[in-house]
Amino acid sequence: MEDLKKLTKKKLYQLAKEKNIKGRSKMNKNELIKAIKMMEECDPETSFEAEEKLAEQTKSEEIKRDILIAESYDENSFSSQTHVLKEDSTEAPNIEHKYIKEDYPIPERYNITKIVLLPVDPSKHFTYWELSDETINLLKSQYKHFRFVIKLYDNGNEVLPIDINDPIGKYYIFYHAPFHQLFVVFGVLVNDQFIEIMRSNTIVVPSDEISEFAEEEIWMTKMKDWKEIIKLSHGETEFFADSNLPFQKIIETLIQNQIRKISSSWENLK
Amino acid sequence: MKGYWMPVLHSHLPFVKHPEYDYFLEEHWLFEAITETYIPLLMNLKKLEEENIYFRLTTSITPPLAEMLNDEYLRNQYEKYLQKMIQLTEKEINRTKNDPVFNKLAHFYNKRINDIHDFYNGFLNKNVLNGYKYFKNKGYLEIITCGATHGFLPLLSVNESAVETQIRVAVETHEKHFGEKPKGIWLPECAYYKDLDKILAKYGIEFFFLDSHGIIFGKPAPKYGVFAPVYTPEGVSAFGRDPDSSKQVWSSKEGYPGDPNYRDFYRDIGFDLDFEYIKPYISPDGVRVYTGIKYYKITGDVDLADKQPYDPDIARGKAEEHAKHFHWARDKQIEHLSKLMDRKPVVVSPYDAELFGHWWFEGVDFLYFLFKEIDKHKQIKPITPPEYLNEYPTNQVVEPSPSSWGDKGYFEVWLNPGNDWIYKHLHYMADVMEDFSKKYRDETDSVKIRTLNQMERELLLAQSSDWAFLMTTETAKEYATKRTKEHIYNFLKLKDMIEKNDIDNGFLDWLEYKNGIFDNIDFKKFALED
Repeated sequence: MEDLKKLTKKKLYQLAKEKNIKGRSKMNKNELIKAIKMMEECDPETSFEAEEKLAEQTKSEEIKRDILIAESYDENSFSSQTHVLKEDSTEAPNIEHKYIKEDYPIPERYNITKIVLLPVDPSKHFTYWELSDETINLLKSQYKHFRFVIKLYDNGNEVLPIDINDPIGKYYIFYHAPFHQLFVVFGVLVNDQFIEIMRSNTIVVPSDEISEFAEEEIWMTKMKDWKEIIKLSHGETEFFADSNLPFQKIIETLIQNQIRKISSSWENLK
Repeated sequence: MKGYWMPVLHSHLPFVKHPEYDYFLEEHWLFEAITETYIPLLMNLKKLEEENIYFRLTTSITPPLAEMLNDEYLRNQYEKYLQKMIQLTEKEINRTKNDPVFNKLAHFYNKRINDIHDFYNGFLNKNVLNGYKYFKNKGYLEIITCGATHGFLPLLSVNESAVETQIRVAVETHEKHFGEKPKGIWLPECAYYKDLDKILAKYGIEFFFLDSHGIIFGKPAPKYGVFAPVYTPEGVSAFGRDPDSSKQVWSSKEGYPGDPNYRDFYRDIGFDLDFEYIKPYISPDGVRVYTGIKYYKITGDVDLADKQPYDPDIARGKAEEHAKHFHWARDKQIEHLSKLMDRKPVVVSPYDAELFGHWWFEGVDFLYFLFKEIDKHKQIKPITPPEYLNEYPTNQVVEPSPSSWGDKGYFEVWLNPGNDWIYKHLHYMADVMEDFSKKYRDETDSVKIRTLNQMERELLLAQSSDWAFLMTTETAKEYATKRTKEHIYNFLKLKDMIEKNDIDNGFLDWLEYKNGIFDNIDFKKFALED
């Protein structure tokens, strides 16, 4: 115990991390020392016990919550075994090629003017686009010199211009934006002036981080007769909704308020 | 009783039907899954029922799987397959008669395949769906649906009608086969995007499943982690996958299926035996394939040639041992969780159904022993989603994060430089379909209506996430590429026939037979009402 007390909080946090103590980020120095001691006394096989003791002693809802979250996912692997990328196949050689007798020709393009944005993961997004002959001819007849540009918009703000060579193509955009709304605008640059031709659909980017806990949780009760009760965790606000009431609207408002709270506190942190 | 365990099986195969060939390798995906997974599972459920063991299981039967299991041509092909397998196992008994070790195994397979044959012709009355319906009607089984053709919804959502059609046709097909609308859905690849819940709610879907991080990275962070469901903003329940119990079974390294005593998947007499002898039981062009008759155990980290003979009795004992271990681990886990929660936790364990039996041969027995063990101790209780929601109708509202259960957790498996070319076609076709659905809403010419309906079938078949998946894993890349191109080609040809008002009846008849999934399809419903 004495030795541990001499360590800085940072060191203790490191130790707690090594011992995989859940809820460590919320602990003060004394709590960290206590938790580390407790883990040391326990067989690693029975670390459940230590965690429970810890949760019980501190009586902290936050620590309980953190443990539940930590046990809810495995940071190192998100996936099921069969769905592995680029794994060497040990399967026996397959014989499909034998049966590919016909060829099915498909078009390279559809002669349309369109751009699409698709999410790949929290930091990667795929866009493909095509300009119709008509659009290309129109551009050529109007401007002597122009080049293509794609602009990425994050929650409505322009963040990233990308130079493009071809009127038909695809591109992977690397931009980390968990839960943000993104879209792209395709246009031409004429004498430093951007002229928009088309814009894509809007995507909501997947997240790879744990959101804040809600200051006020929203709970919903679904009754057998399809009446729903929506209430906040502290029970101050309660809505009853049935088919006559736009309950989705109520939840949307509640959630929007939550999100606003979270994002404003997140902005403050930055 | 400390808490609940929710086992979920995802039963799916892409629609593969090739009446143009007597023998078609990929049709065997279905025959193998029936023989190795679906029938052995149903046989074990029957045993559990007869032994009066309490069990609950949630399983998806995806619309293409249901359509194939019900397809007359494929059912006939399956009976032929079974006859051939019986014949092969009989020949094997004769071939191994001087070798007691292998002769015992030959008898084991012969009895097994005969039992499966009898169960199929008897209890199942020549249709596997009958077995699922039986256990559903008894309340043991919660059957859920999936996307109509397992379309990867987030990447189709550029056209909302495309997603809605995947859901609507799935619900209609489920009702056709099981007599009522599904309460829940296994989202194809567990892939979720913001606002998908609106469409699910519209079609009466009450619950779905997500991988752990889809819940944990939701907004706000969920109070109970994945150990209780959450409601999406539209009030649809989302259950999150428990990472521990998944890994114990999934992982080929640290998981149970890698035990040296279990049957090896890769050593198969289709590759091992003399060519002339095995010729009638492999591909008619002479290419060796798996027969399902496998005589060796995993043995350890050794070359295929050094594998040792398999002992079914020892392996079965191992399955029982692993079931006991799994029960012990869940019991511990659930006891632990229950101390941190003010309600009974639920541990959700979803797996691909074909893992049990097909990949992990003893996995079906593992499930049987596991339910027995749970029933014996009564510390944890198997449960279905509707049962849990009935007990706990109040849940936190959380906006899930877009996610999937694929490698790395997001959409890369289905969208990467190896397969990204498909999306411009899928999106274009959906836009055309939507346009035609409005334009020909009042069409009365029956041939034109059939043509337009077939266009929708070709679109749905092209949308199967299986093709993009197989292109990425390179397991059947050429077949997957060819299938994608085939449906794009067919769609565009049919479109051309409509636009030129010049229908090739022979072509239409052929496609309706070959790609005749969803006989009740109605293209007029494709476009959403304005």
